[in-house]
Amino acid sequence: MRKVADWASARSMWLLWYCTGCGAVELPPCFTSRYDMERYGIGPMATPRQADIFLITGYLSVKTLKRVVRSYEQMQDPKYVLGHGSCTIDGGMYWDSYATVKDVGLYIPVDIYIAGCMPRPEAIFHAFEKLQDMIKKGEAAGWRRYKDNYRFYRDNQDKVFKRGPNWALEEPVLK
Amino acid sequence: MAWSTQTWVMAFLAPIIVFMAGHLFLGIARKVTARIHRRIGPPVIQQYIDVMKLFGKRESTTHGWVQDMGALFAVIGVIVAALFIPIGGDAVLSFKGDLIVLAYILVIAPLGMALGTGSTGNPNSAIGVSRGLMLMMAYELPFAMVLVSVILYYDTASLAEIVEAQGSFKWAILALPFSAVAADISLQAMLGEKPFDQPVAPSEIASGPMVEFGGKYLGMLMVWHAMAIVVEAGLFVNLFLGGGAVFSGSGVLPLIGNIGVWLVLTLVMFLVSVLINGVFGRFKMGQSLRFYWGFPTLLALIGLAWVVLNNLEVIY
Amino acid sequence: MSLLFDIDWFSYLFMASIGVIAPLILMYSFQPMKDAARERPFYGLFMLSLIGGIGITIARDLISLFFFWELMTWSALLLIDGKRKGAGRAFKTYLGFGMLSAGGILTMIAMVASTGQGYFFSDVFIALKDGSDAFRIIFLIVGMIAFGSKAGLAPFHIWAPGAYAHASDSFSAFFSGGLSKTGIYGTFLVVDVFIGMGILATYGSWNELTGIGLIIAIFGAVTALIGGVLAMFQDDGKKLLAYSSVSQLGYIFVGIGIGGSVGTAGALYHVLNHTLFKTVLFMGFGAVIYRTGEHRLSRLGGMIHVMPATFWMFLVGIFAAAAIPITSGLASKWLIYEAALEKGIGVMVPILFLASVSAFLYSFRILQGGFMGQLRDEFKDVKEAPLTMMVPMGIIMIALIVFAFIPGAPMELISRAMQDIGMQAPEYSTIELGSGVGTYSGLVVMISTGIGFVIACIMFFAGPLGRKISLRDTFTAGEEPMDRMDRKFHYSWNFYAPYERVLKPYFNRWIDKAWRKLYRGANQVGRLHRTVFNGDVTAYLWLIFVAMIIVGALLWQYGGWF
Repeated sequence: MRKVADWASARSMWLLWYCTGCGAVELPPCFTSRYDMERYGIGPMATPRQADIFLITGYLSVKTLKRVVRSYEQMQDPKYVLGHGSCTIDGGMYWDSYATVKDVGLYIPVDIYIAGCMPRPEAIFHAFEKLQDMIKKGEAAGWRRYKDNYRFYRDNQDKVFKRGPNWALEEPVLK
Repeated sequence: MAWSTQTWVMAFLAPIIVFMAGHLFLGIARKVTARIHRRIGPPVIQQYIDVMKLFGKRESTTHGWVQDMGALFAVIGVIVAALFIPIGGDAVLSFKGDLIVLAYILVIAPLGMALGTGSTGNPNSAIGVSRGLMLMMAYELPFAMVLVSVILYYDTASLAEIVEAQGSFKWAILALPFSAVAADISLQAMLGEKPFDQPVAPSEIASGPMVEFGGKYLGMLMVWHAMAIVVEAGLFVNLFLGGGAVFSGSGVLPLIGNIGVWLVLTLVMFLVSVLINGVFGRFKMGQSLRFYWGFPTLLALIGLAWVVLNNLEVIY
Repeated sequence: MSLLFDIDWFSYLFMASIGVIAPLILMYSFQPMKDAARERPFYGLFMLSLIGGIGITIARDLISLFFFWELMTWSALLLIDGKRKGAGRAFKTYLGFGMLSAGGILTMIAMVASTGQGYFFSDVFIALKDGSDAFRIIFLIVGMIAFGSKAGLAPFHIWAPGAYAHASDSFSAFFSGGLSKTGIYGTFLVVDVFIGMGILATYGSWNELTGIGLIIAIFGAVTALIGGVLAMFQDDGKKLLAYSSVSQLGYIFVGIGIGGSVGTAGALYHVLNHTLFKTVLFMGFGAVIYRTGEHRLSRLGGMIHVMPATFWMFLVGIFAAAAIPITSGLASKWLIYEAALEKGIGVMVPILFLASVSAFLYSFRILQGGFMGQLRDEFKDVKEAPLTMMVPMGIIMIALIVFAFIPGAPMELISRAMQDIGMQAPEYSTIELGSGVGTYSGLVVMISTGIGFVIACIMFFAGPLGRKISLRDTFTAGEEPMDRMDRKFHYSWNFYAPYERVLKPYFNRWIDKAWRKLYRGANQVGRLHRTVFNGDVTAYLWLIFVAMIIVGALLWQYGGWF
């Protein structure tokens, strides 16, 4: 049954429509008529509760990181993160900025990084296909890494932003 | 009414037919919409894959048993409606006077869902549901007039008898054209297709009632949506397009033929609304109300007046 | 002078509606009255209004009817004792319309006496039978005004929202659920017993429907629509329920107007249904008010988390009011719709259906605003309603659900009642109702709901069990909310704003404004007496002097005194 669920997961992936940085400009061509994303079964969804994939498109400022972590924690397992653009790998163009994060993988687990500044739709599709293979093989386990190593991620997050009293999200526990 | 074995078989078969057909129709609709946009679009079985994925999620978050109950209610309501709609001229449960009861059964699902969404604590869901109800108030006026026209014309309030009276291609759409057009315009809002998809407005109110539904709860809501479009478009087919009862005679083969015709006609009606959906934007709430209580109500009134005067034998 | 009382099945039906809920209300009121020391007159006045209500149904002559009518009206009046803004005006408005009703009944007594007959019901019947057409029409109009305003028929409905909203919470349920039925009883008396549909039919009938009945039905339909639409826009929960009462009673008038066996049966069934569900609705919301002290929906929210049992009973009441098929509410509305379709006045049905849809809207408003959504911090520790409040609500809830399975059971009572006013009830069996054009099978609907429940549960347990998250963990577009989520994240203010904007010009309560103009005009005319009795002592002395001279002159002329 797990194989069937994984196959369905791979063929129907829903993005959280959260465009975090300047790399997001490459997303509209992806889902419009030229490079049709919907034929892969990928479509945009309005809220984290309904989404499977989180795209970190471009640079991630510290201010945005707090919202990204909150949205990520509101998503339901299994969930996959794609780091989109060079800024997510090592800071990219903003490598010397005080306000951006340099390595997204320290704060939330990333399954696939896509290099480029910014990556063209063809590269994005290549990443989606790779993600589909990883899901079918069961290798895309970022959500499991998050729960296993929660303390690691949480310490890194606390170093750059503070969670307030209304955060109201439980600490994830791997059952 | 008799509870024969055939009734019991159909009682479990009808929801399954509606379920399978609904997702297929939605998939075809996505393909058609894509072609309107000159894209390729997903495969027609995409909706099945979506539902399988949702039920295969490893966890689903819920705000409590009321939200669970809301999702359950939505599915229950639409299954009860599916049991009352004649599919291929043969309804599972029917009694005379069930058209009025059906109009109220169609409301069980949205109201049950309203309970579930209200308990999530998100104002977007409440806004979505209140918009859905306001839209219902808008389109129910012409739709109720159309229902009354059909009931008075065929002198019965039973859906099964209305379908029977349209046998051998004496379809009501030829006899009551104004009412049929008004019903089709109302159907646009019932199905929740643009320009009347205010209740689920993804970018305005974060998908309205579905905002806190994820995982298997969203799966149940998608099942509800798929079955609801078949039930509503099927209602139109039963009222105006003969209900698919083209093959007469008892036995399994004509029944299958009739069900097939019914499904094809339902798909045609649904695609009509999908085509309109593909080219329109979205109305505001006040605009919907003003629209529905204007032109479609006028059409429905003309249809109703025609039937009433016909009954008095003033005009033929 | 002798008074006549009698009980027959028709009286029994109304007596049962008022009498059965009275002990429930009594039990319900224990807790609130215990805590409020000033409510000591409550029980006395409640008993008086109960006596009045029941006395009306057993009276068989106009004098005793009038006596009990006044008893009921005045004791109810003294219970409109809310302390919020608008209570004073509600008091005065109810008083005004109560006097209108009383004046109407007195006029009827006078009219009958003027023909030389007595005041027993049988005398009234003879007087009307032998009277002229004009006499009957005037009697009908006076009777409709007198009894219709008690039941809330438009345009005499404006007292109802204020009165039901500002009456003490325990009494509102009785007021709206029980006492308004006396107006319906009176209307039945005037239309069916005194005059009789047969005679009314001679004034123009069309397709088995009397012209006068059609006019009554139109008034009823308009009332249903006005009540429903205005209920949608209310923020005060009790006012919303009050307008809902007005709307539901409009349906009953449609049934009365259409007449015939199906219409009358539908009207009587709706009397029973409305008594039940309106009582439980007012009780449920009264429990919320008792625990939180807050009337306005914009200040409430999330009560389902602290008062779940109350919520369930309130929900069943809402389902019955909105005529959802899983309670008994649909049976009565179905009968009324069938009656309208049978007689061919199809135009009435869309208006009634629209009123029904507005019922869905205001039901959702009170559910969402009061019970669902975010729970306010100040109501976090609210306890569930006390047991003495929950037991009566539970009894009514069970009754509503049971009657959904067996809609024929109340029909037994209704058919006997109809026989007593000379009509035949439509066929029915325990689980099915029949009308001219169709049948309604309650059992089938419930069974299909059961099948649906089974299938849906199979689907539900196919996936993993849900992980419960708190109410504050909700989609906020990624932002962590920085201030009070319980207030800012609850949608209950200005609920149907788009429709209010569009419908306001047509539903801006012009009826209320018209009545207020009438009131002011009457006030002005009344003040004319001030020109003579202007408070000046010397003027009064002159008046006494002039009066003595006139009296002396008259006595000298005609009395032979000097």
